[in-house]
Amino acid sequence: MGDGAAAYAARLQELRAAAEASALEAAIVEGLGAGAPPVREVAIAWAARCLEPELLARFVADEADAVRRNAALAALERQGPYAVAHLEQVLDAPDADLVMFALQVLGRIGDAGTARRILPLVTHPSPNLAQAAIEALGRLRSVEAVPLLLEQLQADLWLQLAAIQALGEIGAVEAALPLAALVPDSPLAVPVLEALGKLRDARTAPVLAALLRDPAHPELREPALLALGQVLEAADVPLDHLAVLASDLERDAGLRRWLESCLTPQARDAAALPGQGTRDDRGTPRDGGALVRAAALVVLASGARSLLPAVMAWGAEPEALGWLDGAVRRFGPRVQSGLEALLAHPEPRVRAGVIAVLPFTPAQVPDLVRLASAEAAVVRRAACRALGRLGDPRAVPALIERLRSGEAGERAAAVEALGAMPGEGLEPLGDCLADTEPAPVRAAALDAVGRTGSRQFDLRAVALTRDPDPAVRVAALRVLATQPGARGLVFLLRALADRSEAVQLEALDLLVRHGGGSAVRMLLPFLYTGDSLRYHVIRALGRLGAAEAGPPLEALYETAPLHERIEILGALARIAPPSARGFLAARLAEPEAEIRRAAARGLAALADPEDLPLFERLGREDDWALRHEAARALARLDEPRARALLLELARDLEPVVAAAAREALARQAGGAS
Amino acid sequence: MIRLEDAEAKLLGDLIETRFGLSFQGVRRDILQGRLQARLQTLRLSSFLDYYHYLSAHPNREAEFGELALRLTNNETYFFREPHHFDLVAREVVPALGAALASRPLRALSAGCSSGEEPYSLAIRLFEAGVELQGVRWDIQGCDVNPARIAQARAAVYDAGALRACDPAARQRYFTEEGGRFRLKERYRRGVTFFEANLVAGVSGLRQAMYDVILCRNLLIYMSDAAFRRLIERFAEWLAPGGYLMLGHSESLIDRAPAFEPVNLGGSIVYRRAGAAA
Repeated sequence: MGDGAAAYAARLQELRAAAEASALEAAIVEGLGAGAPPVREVAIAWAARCLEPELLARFVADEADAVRRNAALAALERQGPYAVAHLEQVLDAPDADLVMFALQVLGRIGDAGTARRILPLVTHPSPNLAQAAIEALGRLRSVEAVPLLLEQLQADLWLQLAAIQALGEIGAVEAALPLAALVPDSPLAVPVLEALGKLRDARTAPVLAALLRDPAHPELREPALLALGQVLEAADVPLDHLAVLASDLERDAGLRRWLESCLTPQARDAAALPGQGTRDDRGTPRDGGALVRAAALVVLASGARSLLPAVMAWGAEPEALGWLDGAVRRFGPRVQSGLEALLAHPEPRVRAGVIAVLPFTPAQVPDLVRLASAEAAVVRRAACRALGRLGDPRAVPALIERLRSGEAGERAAAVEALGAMPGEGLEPLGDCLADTEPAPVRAAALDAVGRTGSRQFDLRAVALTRDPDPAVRVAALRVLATQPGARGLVFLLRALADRSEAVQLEALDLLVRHGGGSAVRMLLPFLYTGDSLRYHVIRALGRLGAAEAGPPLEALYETAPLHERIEILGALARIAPPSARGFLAARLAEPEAEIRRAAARGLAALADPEDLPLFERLGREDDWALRHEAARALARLDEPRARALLLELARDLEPVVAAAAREALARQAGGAS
Repeated sequence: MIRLEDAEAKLLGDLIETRFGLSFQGVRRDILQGRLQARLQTLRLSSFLDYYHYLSAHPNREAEFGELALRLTNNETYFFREPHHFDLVAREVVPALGAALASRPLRALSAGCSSGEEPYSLAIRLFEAGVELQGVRWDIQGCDVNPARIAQARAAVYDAGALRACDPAARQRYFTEEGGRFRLKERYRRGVTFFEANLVAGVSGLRQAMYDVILCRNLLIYMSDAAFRRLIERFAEWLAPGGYLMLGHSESLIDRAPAFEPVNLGGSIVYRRAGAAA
């Protein structure tokens, strides 16, 4: 083909590409206005990717089509940093609605640098626009906006509301007292209380405490309690700030009942417990345990003795362990004597809660030993844990008794406590290792021995590595793994050939944890076996990060099955031998998608500036996972040259990729500033 | 707690969606993270990415998908949950089919039947309504992706929780107590069979237009859009023209499935397969 023909073909191709691009753009624009949400959602992703912010802003300005306007706003938000410069220009536009929408999007994009452009709009004559500016500054957590926002507390109600919320989000401590002055009479008292909770300023505690006992405003009790809880959690509140509340709690049965109801199982069920992952109607995680914790803190901080049983009954719950212990330590002097009296409380859960949080002394070991054989299992469990905290060998017989005859929770608590005892006091534990004991007792006793690091039962543990029960063999290995020198490793090596996979895998884990360089040498021969353990050995070698494992892993790669090859690539990325980058890069040409992904992941982990062209290529791959790895690599490289690609990836169709790119851009911006 | 990272959630979520049609996006991502923690520990895997690789490439992956199904499916069900649909079948559907049921049984599918409470509830209702005395037989099939649930359905032995909507008289009438558990009496088990099936992946052996009624309640809410559409297409294929699809009270096909038209049947909205009844 001559030059003329080639040019002709190229022009045809250009025309085709232009036609395709224009058809795509038309389809996206139509999709933005589609009635069906799934279609619109896809169109938004494509619009973020392919349409320029100027065009999207035109759709935002078109008030005749609200559906497309909202879709265009969503697309602009997804464009993130790519759209910021244009959105900042829009702030000067004459169309107030358009400016308002730009403010909303800028707030959601969260580029702190835009705050200075937004600040002058706080005093804009259009209240809608001023409100949007305040909200955006709140989202941007703009500290420089605080003086102006404080002035807005005297403005009309909508601006006040926006300013209150923004000051809370910013965490402006200087706003605490001006905000506290607005309760209880402001119609915005609830948002004010929410903001005060976020500010966590001890000076507001008296105001919040007064609201709890204010009969004129029962609707403010719960938000005030939540806010006070946040303040107490974060700040040192002087006792006199809560003195009136403490005396009111003792005097006012209604107030007491209400606070007690916040600590009941019903209240806790109604509010999800921490870590349950519930979200509020805005999609942000909601900490449902906050109300319970706030009530407990108010009781402890005010020293309200009559409510201590309710707090301690909650203390017996697993989710309260740790948290309540810390709270009691903090407010100890205020409640100590009241708590000690509760050791005789008729309700077992109250006694268990007290045992869980009280700091006992060695003189109280006999009392705790008695409690370890109490009627209620919840009390026995708590007593075992308390004995463990003391570490006094006089407790060993009682703990062994719980280990032998207690229910599962008691046995676990007894093992934990025995594990905290000094080794020389553990001799009686030897009886639990006898063959005549049930397997769960043998395993639990070994578990306790392993925790102490005592060597006095090693011989017995060696015998128990041949126990018929796999759980006992696992526990015996845990004891032996900590032996000094290579002796323990020999047992672990032998256990790699155990008939139980659970024992094999435990041995492998223990080798990785305790074996050091010897473990690598012991494990390498397993690469030449073809059994199912090899998959785990490859992973273990990766965890060990030993350079000598690199060449054999690379050699194994050619003949290994897919699942092992994926693990080999992961292991090489961890070990990072000099050959790894080249080896991984070669894998990008392999046919299996998961291999290419694993290779890209490894390359991202080992990212080197030399590989920039490679990541630029990965950033344009069809597979989102490869583009994601490119974004991660560019974030790691922190290369100014990569900014153009990151801006492109920040508009990626796949939100995971866009988020990684935005994070990288934010990191670059942070570094630059 | 092993954290489910964004990219892992996408990888695993796509895999689950393709395999089971279930969506774990948004707030349901926390559910995915929580339900799989113990499984990761059992397999000695240290991240969700490892688990994704296990499901993608490990020789045990098929068995692991079974384990995954056990953990992902919502098995919340009990006897006589949303009972109006069972009444509708007895009072409206059976009489409407009239003569057709003289030569063949009433055919119903309980899609996503978990441990069988729904299909058995329908059988009990038909029995109690005296449908059998009119010479009508029934062939109620229950299917679920979870093999353990199907085994439980076949055994028909339940804990008290499954009987929470049964008063003491109903408990006594329908069940025999055995050591604190409840066995469904044999006469209510007649005409009810179960099979294991992943409806999203496709089911062999189901013929076109073979069911008069499909019950699929409180399953579609957990499905991705694509799986939802696929499943509705399958239901349309398996239902006879004029047959009924009955969904949970929070589920709707309005404007989403042209093959079905919403109809008011005995005071309830159900979905009728377009086309004339046979």
